[in-house]
Amino acid sequence: MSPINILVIDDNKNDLLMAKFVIMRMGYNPILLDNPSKAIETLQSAAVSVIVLDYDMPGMTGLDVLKKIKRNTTLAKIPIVMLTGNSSSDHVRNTVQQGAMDYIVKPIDPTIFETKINKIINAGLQNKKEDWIEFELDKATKAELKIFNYSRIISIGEVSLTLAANQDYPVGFTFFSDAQIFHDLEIKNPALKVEASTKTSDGFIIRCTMVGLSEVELKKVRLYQKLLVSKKVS
Amino acid sequence: MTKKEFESGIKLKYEHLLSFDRTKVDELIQIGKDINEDVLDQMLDLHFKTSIDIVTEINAALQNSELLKVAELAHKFKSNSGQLGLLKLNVMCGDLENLTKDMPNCKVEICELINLILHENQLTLSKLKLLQGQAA
Repeated sequence: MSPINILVIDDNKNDLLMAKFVIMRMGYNPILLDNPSKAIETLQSAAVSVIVLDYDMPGMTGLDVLKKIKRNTTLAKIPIVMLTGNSSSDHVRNTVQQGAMDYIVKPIDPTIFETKINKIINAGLQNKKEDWIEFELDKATKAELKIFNYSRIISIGEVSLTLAANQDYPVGFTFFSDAQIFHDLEIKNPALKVEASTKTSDGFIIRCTMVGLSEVELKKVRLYQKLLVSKKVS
Repeated sequence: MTKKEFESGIKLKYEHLLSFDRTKVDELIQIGKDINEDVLDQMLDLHFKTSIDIVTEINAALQNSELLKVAELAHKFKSNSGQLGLLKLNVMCGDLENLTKDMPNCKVEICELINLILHENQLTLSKLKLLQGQAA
């Protein structure tokens, strides 16, 4: 698993050092930058989960950097927390309006810093997890519909299965089959992994492997094959 | 206000203040133990180096009568001392920032306050180094 990088941009080296130690204690990887003009360059060279950005910097201010990041379509989604020596409502409103997710008042309090950054990172991980679950559910539902509505098993081997479908299946795609034959053989929804797909005049021929069958289930499939062959011979 | 009145008044003002916040220092020592690094030591060394740079810059700015710059540098010094929990220094630097902004003509008082800050900085850092040695 790749480490979680936190980028801290602050011209004050003392604050950078403090942030570095707190981030290290949190188990994340600190990336420290005392020159705000190199922010975009740094963000393009490393995957950053959260940016901690100082508000008051000479030359290019934190607000300038914030606007620049938010204008960049690939970087705009990275959550930004502003570091500020001023907690006045105008100051905070200004940063939030420009897209900052939160703010931390200087001097850095390790507990507040850890709580706020962890909250953002955990929310990000949760979102990713929810997106993934939604994607898998959607994929499973669609796959099921495809199996029920459009596919027809042509042949069944010891560990492989070929079906005809009027829709293509991507190679590597894995789904659970609810075909009647498996009900008949009392094999509960075997997982099928697409190995190859061939386009024909009236649809697609999909070759799949059956994944994770037990010895008993394999025996049932072999028996079924023998029955099919004997039927054809007679 | 005479120089003498200023000196005695300002010394009285800071007399009751603690040099440093023990909770903050203990917190830094704890972070050091958690990540197996000399956190307090590194923070103190950096503070010492940056405070020398800041004071040099303050003196140069004073000579050029750039009081706005003196105020900015005092603000930076205040922020750094706050990060380490150096309470007395934090208040003194805040006063220096305000003094240069509000009373730019009081150059003698400004210089006097800078001397007090330097003295306090040296004294506190020695105390903290001692504390760090005991903790190690």
